[in-house]
Amino acid sequence: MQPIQTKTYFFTLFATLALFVVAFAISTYITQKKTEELKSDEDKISINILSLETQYDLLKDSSCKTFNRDTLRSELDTLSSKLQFMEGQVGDDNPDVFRLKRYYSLLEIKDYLLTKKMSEQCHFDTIFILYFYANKDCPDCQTQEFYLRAIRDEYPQTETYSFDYALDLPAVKTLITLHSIPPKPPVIDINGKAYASFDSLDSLDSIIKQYIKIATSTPSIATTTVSKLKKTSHK
Amino acid sequence: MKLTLYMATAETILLYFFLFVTTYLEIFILTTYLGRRKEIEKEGKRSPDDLSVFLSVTLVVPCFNEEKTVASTLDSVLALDYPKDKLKVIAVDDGSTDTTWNVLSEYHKKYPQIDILQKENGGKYTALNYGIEHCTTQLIGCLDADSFVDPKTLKKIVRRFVEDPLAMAVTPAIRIHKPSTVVQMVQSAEYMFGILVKKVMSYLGAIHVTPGPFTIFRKEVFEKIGPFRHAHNTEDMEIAFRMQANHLKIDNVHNAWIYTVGPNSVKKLYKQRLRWTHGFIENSKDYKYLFFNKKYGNLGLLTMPTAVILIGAVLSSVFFMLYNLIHFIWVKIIEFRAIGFTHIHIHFSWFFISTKLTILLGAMLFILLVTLMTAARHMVEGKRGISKNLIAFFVVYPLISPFWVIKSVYNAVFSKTTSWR
Repeated sequence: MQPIQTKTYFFTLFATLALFVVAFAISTYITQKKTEELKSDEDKISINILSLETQYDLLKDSSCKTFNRDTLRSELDTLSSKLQFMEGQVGDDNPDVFRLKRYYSLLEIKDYLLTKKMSEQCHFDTIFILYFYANKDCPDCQTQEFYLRAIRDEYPQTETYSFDYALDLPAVKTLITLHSIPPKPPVIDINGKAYASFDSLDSLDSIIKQYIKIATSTPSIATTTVSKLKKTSHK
Repeated sequence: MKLTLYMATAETILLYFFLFVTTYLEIFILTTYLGRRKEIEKEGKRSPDDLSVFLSVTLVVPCFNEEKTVASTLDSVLALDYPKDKLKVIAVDDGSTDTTWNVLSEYHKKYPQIDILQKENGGKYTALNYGIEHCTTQLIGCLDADSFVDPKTLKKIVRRFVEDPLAMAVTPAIRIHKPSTVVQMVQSAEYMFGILVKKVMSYLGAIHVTPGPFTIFRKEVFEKIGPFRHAHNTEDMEIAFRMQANHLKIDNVHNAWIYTVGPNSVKKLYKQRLRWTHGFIENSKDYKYLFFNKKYGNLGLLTMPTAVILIGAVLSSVFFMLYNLIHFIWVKIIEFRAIGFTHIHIHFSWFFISTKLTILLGAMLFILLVTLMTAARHMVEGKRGISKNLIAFFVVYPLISPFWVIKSVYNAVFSKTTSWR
């Protein structure tokens, strides 16, 4: 019988552990870099929102013709996809991702307030949809997200903002209180009116059509600008 | 939701465990190979013609309905570069229903060194034992009737017996004969890798199969531990287990070439591998006392436990892959029922390349395997780089191998038997 190569057994154990440590270090490093990239994206978006707000304050009424947030919208959508991806990679309980998600929600609220303000000021026919979801114990959430994706594609005048109902953020909680959002997600708030989950795309579509009817019966002064707003999913 | 959480936790724990064991095994093989590389290269360069002592050898060729291949097999035996008076051939017709016996009779008439025997069909091991009963030589070899021997192979193997009196069996290096179909290309790469692994295992004293094609035994092996047994249609595995259990040394010559005709279709390969894997599981059960037993060296501590764990790895990978696939399809069905497939957004960015620890570890494991397989190619063919056979192996093997592993475990659990053909 060949002798047992104890040295080889221990060396291999050491090498395997070393390989695991290296892989762990690389994975952590790349995740950290991605988190930093997200943080940088959020800062950039924050500056963009602040810039738009300042521009609006400076120009007041005459800002309607120049108000264009295509870039901001696209940046928010990309950030949303990246955050969602990171949640899947490291889990939604990861402190860094959790912090970035809170920051993102704040940016969403700021963008919502600014766009709403501009919409009222300039009589845009924008329909605001606030979607409250939960990552856990929400069997209907997945379907509602699919419906909202289809609605965004179908109606460019809709603006959708998604919020994690369970997110411990005072601003989101205030939004929930102000809009009288019921405690069980999914909840879809359309122009201030809260709806429980829809059982089909058609039922949501018919509600949206009603809002469009109301909006288009009021003359809009900036329809061309609004139609340029691209709608893609973001959570 | 709870089920999803439990599944994710179980998947993570099992995944890390299997990744660790597989990585450990690959590094162990690589380390041993690199430590012995010069020795292997030196051995590979030795001329087989420097052999001065010729031990007497009998080659037993069991045949069952081999009318198409047995002539080539016997031709390759007759072409062996070995003194005719030291080499005997016993071809055993195991109750063939075709013209195998006629082919054998013609060879017997033409070549007196070929003896032929006929018996009722009883399975390969009975044909082997029947032939062995008639052997009087120092060494006894077996050769399947679908395999061909390189002329210098016997000399290389006999030299090992001459130089190492403790060697009780010597295994050759098996290659696929003229791989033409994709399935045979896959096997070609796999067998090449097997040559390196077997060499490494010979250094560790941990070989657990003495392959049917041309493993040569000292006669005393059968005198000490008895003849071949039925052993779940894997008698070449069982006898290796029995030899290891009796501390009889099994050696290997990595350039003693044997060419075997690999199954040319997925169905035939499935049948063969089902028999092998099921045989391994059943023989492992019969010899379970070898596991984690220091008395049996690296075989008990490394080869057998990791082989069983690898079967578990394949099973759990398939289970979780299917679970994730079903989950994915289920979400797509929900999506289709909700909005159809007209609202798909595809957005590519490097950001979305997963760098999860398991993915990186899987990638490292893959690189290790490619390194080992290219090293095997260099050892066997003297060529470096990735061959098309290797690409075929990586593409096809993961798709087909789970089927025979699952069925083997199923057969073992529910006491089903496998057949030869």
